[in-house]
Amino acid sequence: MKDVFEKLRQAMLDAVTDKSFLQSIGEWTKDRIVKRTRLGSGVDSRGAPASKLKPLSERYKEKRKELRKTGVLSDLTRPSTSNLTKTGKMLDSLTVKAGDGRVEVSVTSDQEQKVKANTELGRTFLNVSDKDLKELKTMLIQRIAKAIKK
Amino acid sequence: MSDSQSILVRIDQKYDDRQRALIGDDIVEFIKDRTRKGLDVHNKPFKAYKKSYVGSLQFRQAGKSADEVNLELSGDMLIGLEVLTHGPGFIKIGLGDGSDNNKAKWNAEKGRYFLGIMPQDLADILSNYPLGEDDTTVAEVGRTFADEFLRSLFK
Repeated sequence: MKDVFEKLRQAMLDAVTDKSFLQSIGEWTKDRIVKRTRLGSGVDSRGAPASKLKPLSERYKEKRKELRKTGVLSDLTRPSTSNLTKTGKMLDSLTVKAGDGRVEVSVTSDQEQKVKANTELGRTFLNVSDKDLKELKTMLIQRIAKAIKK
Repeated sequence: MSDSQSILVRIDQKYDDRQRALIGDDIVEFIKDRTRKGLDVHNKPFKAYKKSYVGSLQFRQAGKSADEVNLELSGDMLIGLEVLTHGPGFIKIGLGDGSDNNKAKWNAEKGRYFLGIMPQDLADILSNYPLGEDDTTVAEVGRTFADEFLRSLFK
């Protein structure tokens, strides 16, 4: 019986640590983070619910109005919208690394300072939310169920 | 603000607690998959979005296309769908979160109904759970494993 459970456990582990599967769930997570942030919400810590990003200061809104006039401000935002989008480069730079049973979603090194600065200003976004985790669990369960059926 | 958006699915009273939980989850996933494919509760395409919505900033921010009528903007509403409760002979499915509930009600008011399951679709799901055969142990082991794995998934 112990042997049966050991084999079952190994089959489940093989299924969820497959690199292309991990890459696909990493890409899904990245897309969720980008979409959520562009829609104006952040996640303070891993597993926390998404919440509206802190509004922009009046001074910064004025600056963004100028950036709109000069064509610098992305068309995925407005001068008064708090969605961590100015040129759009920071969110566009999100990348996925998958392997060894783990997934990492991060920005490219040239964008790290922006993430840090935004976090310090109370606008944290690079986290998985409670709902991300709920859906990821479903994906894992479905993947495991398929592997067990084989 | 809104009435509870939920459905009561009737099943055989002989299904036990563990089976009902698994069947309920299967129904939830079926509804989510069907909706993401752009099909309503009757397996018919959803009514098109209004032009004003398609042209909105939110629509572009979410990276949607006009022909993608699948009730997903952030995607949170569908993820929020869950088994609310179950008991002998029934499973209640709906949206526990107030914000998701409001979104579901808004969609229903626009004539886009997604909360429900057709009898044949339910029968297909139930065919995986033959009465008198409790085959839930392996599925439950899989769920526990998924929980454990998820805890260490992200760097």
